[in-house]
Amino acid sequence: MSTEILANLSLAVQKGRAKDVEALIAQGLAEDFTAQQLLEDGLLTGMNLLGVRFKNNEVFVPEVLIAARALNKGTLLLKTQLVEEGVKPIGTVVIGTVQGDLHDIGKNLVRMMLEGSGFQVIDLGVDVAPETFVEAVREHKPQIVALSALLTTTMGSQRGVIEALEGAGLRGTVKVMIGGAPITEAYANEIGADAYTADAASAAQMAKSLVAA
Amino acid sequence: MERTLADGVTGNAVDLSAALGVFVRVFCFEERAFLPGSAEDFCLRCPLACGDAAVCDSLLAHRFGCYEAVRWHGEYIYYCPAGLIFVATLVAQNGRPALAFVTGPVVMGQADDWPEFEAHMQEAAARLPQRTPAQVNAVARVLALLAAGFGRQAPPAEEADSFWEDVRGPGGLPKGFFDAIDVQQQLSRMIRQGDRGGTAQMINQLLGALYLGGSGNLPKMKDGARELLALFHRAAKEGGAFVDPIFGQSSDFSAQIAGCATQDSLSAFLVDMFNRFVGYVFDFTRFAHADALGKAAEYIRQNAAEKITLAGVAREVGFSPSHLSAVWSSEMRVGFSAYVQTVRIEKAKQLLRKSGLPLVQVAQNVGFSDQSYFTKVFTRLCGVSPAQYRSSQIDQISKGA
Ligand code: B12
Repeated sequence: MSTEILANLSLAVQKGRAKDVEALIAQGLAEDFTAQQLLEDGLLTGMNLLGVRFKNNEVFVPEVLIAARALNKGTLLLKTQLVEEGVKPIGTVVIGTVQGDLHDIGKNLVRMMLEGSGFQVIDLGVDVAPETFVEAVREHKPQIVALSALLTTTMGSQRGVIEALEGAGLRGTVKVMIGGAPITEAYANEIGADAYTADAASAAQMAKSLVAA
Repeated sequence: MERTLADGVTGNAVDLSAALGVFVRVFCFEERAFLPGSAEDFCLRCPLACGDAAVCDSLLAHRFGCYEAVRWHGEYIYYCPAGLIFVATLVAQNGRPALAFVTGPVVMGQADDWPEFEAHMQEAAARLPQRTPAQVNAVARVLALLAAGFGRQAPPAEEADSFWEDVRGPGGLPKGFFDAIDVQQQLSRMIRQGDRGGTAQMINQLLGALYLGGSGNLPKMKDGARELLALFHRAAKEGGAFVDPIFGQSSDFSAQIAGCATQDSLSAFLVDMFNRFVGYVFDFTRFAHADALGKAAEYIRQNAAEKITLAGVAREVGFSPSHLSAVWSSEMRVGFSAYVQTVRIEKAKQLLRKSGLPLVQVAQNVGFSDQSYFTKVFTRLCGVSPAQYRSSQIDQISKGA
């Protein structure tokens, strides 16, 4: 078991090499790395490093998209290992990235962990308008609505969804969870969300305790 | 990069270094750096460099050489800022630039031929490998042959990927989105002010708009990409940047875009274009100028007996006359015609010392058709007439003997 695999995984994400990512994940699992290690110390480390270069505009949008594709392929392979498969659904979650925001990697991870914890998840995708969330709540009657936002400029859309739910008289029927890199506990309190967590694993824990309560 | 290619090329570089008696390093386009394992950093041992990165950033200088090799069909001979010669040779993989051999440094011709070198530099240069222009060309040809052997396999067939259909932003781009005149003005201002960070940020904002405006539709993406590159072309010209190496004939990039069969290859093309754009506009200017001025000086030395015009030299180095003139006056301590005269007079001094040629012949050999004009210029520059100079040198030699 050598940590070279983790470093190579991180590099493969940064270069957007989906095929290499898949091969390295298979190799890593065969060498008894945990799925958690491969995800956090390999895939996500790579995306964070690329994120720093993206911030400095040293890499360009298409490169980051291609890296995101490679990362998503990798997480799909880890899915069965990351989640202990639940038997019967313990509840329903409607999830989506809010309007104006196209970042879906974090949201996809949260969805995966929720599914693994036994939730049925309705994924509305990215750039989801408040009305679309409202309609989905009406239609699917979930216990939880989960909102992802990665941009400081789209954080406000999370508040917009909560207001739209209030306007439709549905706020009392669901718990609202929010997350994404710029989000904080304080912000969640400010906009009247029910819960915030910093990562996908804790998001699943939190969702469980919300439906148990 | 497949490890096997990098390993093979690096192994070859080591052998080549030994065989040629000069350093051979391997540059990797994707890493934008030299690969470890080939020769040590030649620039660290360069006796001419003062070790000042502001003068000689070895990586940027050679990255420039490697990009030029891409542009010039796989090989490029260039001057580094210290005035030494390097050869960049492209190794392609799957039809794309992958690696390059960078070979050097050598001194071309005779170091004491160079009026711009001070005495201590001439001494230092004399310790480096000296090669004639014919030898340098031969090395470039041999390396090109070797490099061609690596890139033989045909590029793999491209597969379209449904991934791109899911990348979709709020609404598509309106037609003519990239024609916005205020964006162009802002860009050209940043280019003129040398604002590298601002320009790179603008590139990402506009690329973001292009991709998130609906990258599932390849023909629309291609239209957008054309508009986007045309916008940068206009802005760069307006901002006074020299971008011929990037855009060539504007029909070139249009054809290349047309040739992209998938969003993946279009993305690779755009990333490459914008890396080169930032490189040529902000990073390479100094090296491109050093290279062109080195070549101009070399041309003037080689052709001292002929008529030399700014336009003729500009053609030799691939600049427009006005561009060469601007670069020359900003970076050389003497004006163009004064430099040509200095070279001629230096050559004349050599002939006066080393040959018994009659003065009229000396004058002609260094490009003066009129001997009295030659005498006038010589006397002004050297303080003595050609005849006095020759006899004083002979006196010295006989005294020394
Ligand atoms: C990948 C990426 C992109 C990709 C997105 C591809 C995709 N399919 O997602 C592309 C290239 C499209 C992109 C575009 C843009 N991006 Co972007 N992007 C990133 C990058 C590099 C990584 C994000 C990521 O996926 N991280 C990995 C995941 C796993 O982490 P995460 O999303 O934070 O999710 C975790 C937690 O936050 C949490 N979580 C997430 N959601 C939820 C939801 C709930 C309910 C809960 C409980 C928890 C939770 O759990 C997750 C797992 O642990 C970040 C930089 C960074 N390092 O964050 C910039 C970044 C987010 N982008 C940024 C910017 C500016 C942009 C653009 C505006 C750039 C442009 N010029 O066009 C556009 C905006 C497009 C838009 N309208 O959305 C900025 C945002 C700055 C700001 N403060 O607002 C960042 C921070 C980069 C930077 N520093 O400049 N980007």
